[in-house]
Amino acid sequence: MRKSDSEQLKRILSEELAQSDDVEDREMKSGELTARLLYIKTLCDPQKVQRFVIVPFWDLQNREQYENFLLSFPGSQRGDRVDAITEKLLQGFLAVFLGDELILFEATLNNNSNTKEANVETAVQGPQDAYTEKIETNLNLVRARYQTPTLRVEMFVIGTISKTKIALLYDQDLVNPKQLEDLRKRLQNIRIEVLQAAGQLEKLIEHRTIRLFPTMMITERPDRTVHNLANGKLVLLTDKALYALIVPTIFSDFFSAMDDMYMQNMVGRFLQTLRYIGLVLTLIMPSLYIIITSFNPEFVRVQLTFSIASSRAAVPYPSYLEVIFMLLMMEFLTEASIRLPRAIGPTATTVGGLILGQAATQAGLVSDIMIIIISVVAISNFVIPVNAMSFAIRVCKYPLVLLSTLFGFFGLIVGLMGLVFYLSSHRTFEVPYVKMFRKERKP
Amino acid sequence: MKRRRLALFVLLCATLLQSGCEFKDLDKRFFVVSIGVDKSKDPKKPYHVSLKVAIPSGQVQMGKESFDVYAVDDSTISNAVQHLKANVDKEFDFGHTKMLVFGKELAEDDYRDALDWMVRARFLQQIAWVGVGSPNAEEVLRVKPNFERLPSNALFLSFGQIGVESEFTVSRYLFDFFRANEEPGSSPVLPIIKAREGHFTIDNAYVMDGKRAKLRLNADETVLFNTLVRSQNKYEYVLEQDGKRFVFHADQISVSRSLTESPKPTATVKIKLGGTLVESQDQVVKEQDLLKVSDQLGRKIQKDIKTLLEKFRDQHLDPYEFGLYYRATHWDDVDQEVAAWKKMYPSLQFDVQVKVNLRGSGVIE
Amino acid sequence: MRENRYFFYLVILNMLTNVVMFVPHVLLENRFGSGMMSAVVAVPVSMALLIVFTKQIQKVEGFTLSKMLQATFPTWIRVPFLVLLSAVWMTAGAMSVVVYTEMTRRFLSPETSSLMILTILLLLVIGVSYLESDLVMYGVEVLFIFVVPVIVFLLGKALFSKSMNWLEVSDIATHLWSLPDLKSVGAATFLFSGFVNMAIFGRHFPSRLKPLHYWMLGVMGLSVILTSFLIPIGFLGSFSVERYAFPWMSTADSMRMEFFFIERVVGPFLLLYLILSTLCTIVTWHVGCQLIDSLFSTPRKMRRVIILAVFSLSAVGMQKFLLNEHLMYRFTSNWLVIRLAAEFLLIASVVYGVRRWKKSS
Repeated sequence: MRKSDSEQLKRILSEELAQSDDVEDREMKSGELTARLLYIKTLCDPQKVQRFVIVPFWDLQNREQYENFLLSFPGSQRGDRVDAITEKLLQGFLAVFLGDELILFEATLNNNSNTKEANVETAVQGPQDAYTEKIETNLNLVRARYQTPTLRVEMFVIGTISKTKIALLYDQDLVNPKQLEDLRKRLQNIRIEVLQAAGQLEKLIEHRTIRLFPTMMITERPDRTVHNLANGKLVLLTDKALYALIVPTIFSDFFSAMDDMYMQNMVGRFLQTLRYIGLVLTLIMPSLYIIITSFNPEFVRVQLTFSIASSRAAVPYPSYLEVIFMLLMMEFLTEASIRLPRAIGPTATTVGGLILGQAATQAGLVSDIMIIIISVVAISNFVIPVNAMSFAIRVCKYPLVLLSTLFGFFGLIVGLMGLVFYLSSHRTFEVPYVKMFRKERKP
Repeated sequence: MKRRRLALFVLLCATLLQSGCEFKDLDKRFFVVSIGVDKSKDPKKPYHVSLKVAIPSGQVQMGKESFDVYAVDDSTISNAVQHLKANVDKEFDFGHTKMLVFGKELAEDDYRDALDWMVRARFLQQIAWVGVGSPNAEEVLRVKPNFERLPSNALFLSFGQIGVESEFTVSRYLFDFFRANEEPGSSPVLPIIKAREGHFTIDNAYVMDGKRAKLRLNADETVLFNTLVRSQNKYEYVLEQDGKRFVFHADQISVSRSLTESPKPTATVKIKLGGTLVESQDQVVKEQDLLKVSDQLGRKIQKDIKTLLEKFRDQHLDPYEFGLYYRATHWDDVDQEVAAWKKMYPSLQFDVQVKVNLRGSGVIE
Repeated sequence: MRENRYFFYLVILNMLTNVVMFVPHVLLENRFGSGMMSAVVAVPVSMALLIVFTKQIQKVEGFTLSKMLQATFPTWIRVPFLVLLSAVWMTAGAMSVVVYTEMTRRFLSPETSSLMILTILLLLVIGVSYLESDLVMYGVEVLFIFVVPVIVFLLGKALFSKSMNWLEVSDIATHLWSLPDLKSVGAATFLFSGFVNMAIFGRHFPSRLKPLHYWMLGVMGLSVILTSFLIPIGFLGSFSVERYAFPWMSTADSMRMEFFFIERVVGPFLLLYLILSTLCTIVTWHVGCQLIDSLFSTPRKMRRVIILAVFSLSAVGMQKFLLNEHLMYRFTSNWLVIRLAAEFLLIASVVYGVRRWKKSS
């Protein structure tokens, strides 16, 4: 390799890669021997680098000896073509420049033992890896799945006390520069003492005061992150926080699970349709019950009206109290089973379910049909795959119940229209929050 | 921001204060499932209105339905309904009123005011069924079929054509009755519901002239009329021949009509029937017998239908809507068309052609 | 098609709201006379307007009405013209909610006060219409996608219903040969007039229509106007249809779903039209307030809200003034003719303006 070539190589490599904050580019000098190391920190095992590259450099003191030492490891090779070298670097190799020579040394970090299985967003057929609480591991997980030189990593430190490390990831070629600039600015403007969770970070980035619907996706799945990076989105990884933030996220993203992509496309489509049906059901079922029992019983078939009437015959209070009472009980049950320790959780739900399902109807406090409706509401709420959205939808039921109690069907429809327009009035990072048929053909 | 929240709060309070008047639970409502209008004996209070109210009970079971019939005489129907409210502690809900019954006497005298009230009342649905009750409407409402699970369900099912499909039943929705009543080229037909002990019989019908019931169709005529309007797709006809009876089950029917004005105004009705023999008192039916039977059957049906149509014509009734057909096929001014038809109808000749296609003699030869 | 769909939404929205805007009433009133002919004649007339308008605005990149007027007309024409146009738009939206309020009070909740219903609807409309055009459109799109298939299903169900009496329909169809009259044509052309909303929405959603799209629009318009005119006749009868105050509501009430847990169609029908007529108001008022807002040099949210509040007050006034459906009918049928005239005026100004604007720039 000629000298000029080598110089050019160095320049190209540092230009291609060095804009990421996790790329290490350092020179070692001992006597007349100089070596330059270029590698991606998050992909390489620091112990291997230390023991087999840095320490021998000081021990051997001789260029030829050092060169042979490095080349003696399995996987080590000489590199000359830039694209091959970049590829190797992105796989976790170390580039050692020794004068004009370049040696690639394998120092891949394997995190298999450190990662956990995803348990919040589980997938049936997808990869099972989840993020850990260490940002280096997480970066490694992403880097390992996204092997292009255009992936950029920028590091920020947020929190005057906690000094939390934040990594901003994006694909240089695909990202919208305006969104990137906007997010950078917002990150720099954050003033906080302690930052401990990705959700907290989301709140700090958002400006609105009343917030109900999530505008950024919190995920524990590296594969979802990578998928979004490839779609030109921005990703924030927080140290000691387990989750990644995806920016900007719009309404329909919250209704897709990673499984949809791994299954046959008709199945995926079907599953997504199911989720939207679930969304509609969980929103309107309680209100419909109130309306049918108390406002417009003539809407449904006479047979159905009479069976509701006969099952409600013993209930001593108006329908909206019945609905609110049962909805609250359901929320209590859900909350209790989430927050309780694993050992007690099932007991609480069993006891609660038994009381609600059996005793309440037998005592004539609620009607049988109400129990069915509550189960439908609860189950169809759980169909929504992303928790943040699922929680938001849980809240949305109550205004609709209020409106239906006041104005019947009219109130419900106006409420639903209001909800749709409330959603569509948002923009996150200049992207409209609700937009159908997004995947437009590129001209 | 604060001010906006305050405004929202005030607005919420205002709406809370405003409404709440319409909220009424199911158990505070009495569902009227059927309304009957009879003629009363009292000339000052000519209407005898009866309401059948369903009472929801704990469990829905066959034969365990419970209902009440409230009836009162009054000068107008609306007054009667208002009056009946005094008898009960809950609001009447007419949202599920699906059966409107005119008493036989009222139908034979003048039903126009009652019909007008039914169409005008916004709380009555247009898809309620209309019928004539015999001996009177109240008796019909009081019938309690043993197999019913919900009050009046038996009537709903037999008219709704979901439960039973009977070729004897004419079913008419309120809007369609009103349409035919107003239409100059049509005479409405209503079923006659005969109250029996524990069940109904619905196999006769009345043809109305826009004001009163004028012509009563017996069961056979009702079947023939239903064949013409093709309300069903299954019919059975009986043929008596040499003291033997054949029953023909038709399941493929097509009916078409046309009008010619010259030389003589003639209405042509073509009927094609396809089906099988389901009952035959002759033990064996051979192929040539089959042809003979179908031929005779066709001739009999042809004669019966022609007689029926002539009967309608002589009574100045037009339930098969030849008048409307005339207007639908002519491009003149509407008044001209109506007048021309009025002149033409009494001298109209009928040419009925029936073709019977016997496909076989049932499961056995 | 992907980019043109917004144009289709706007046009179809207007086509479907015709039921609320008394269009069938006007035609049904003349059903034995000019009704049928007017319905048929309206299609070429309004398609011609539509084609001229869309062709003109396609000539200019990022067309907006106010920019064009500013460039080519003097202020003393421009300001009154825009105010007049937005008044016409305002009336469209206001009528749509006011009439719907009357319908819902009669068929859905007879005991709620109409003022209450109207106020709630207006609050929703104000809260939405002041937003940016694209955000309004995205919301409209979501609701539209939910509502329109159901409406189409119901219309199809009506067409194939056993209760639909085709003799009555053909009775009316055989009265085709009579001269159309202005009032009926004015009413029937309303179906197509959704395209004028492109005056504002065109900037965010430019459309490139091909001949196929025009044919689609024409066929769609013809079938919608024939269904909305003839289905009530088929159900209610050519003679008795005039006895009903809201023929379409009674028609919907005459439909029955045999195999569904809802039996009466009138309920869903009312709710769907609640959505459609609110959407219509949202869209037209959005256009109206944007037009007035464009008179000022910088757009401001607060100003648009104030304009919408003024619109709302006049809608409330309209409700107070037009007490029953007869008055509403008389007012709306006259307004429909005025609207047609305003449309002609608008298109004439666009044709003139675009030509001058192109020459000058």
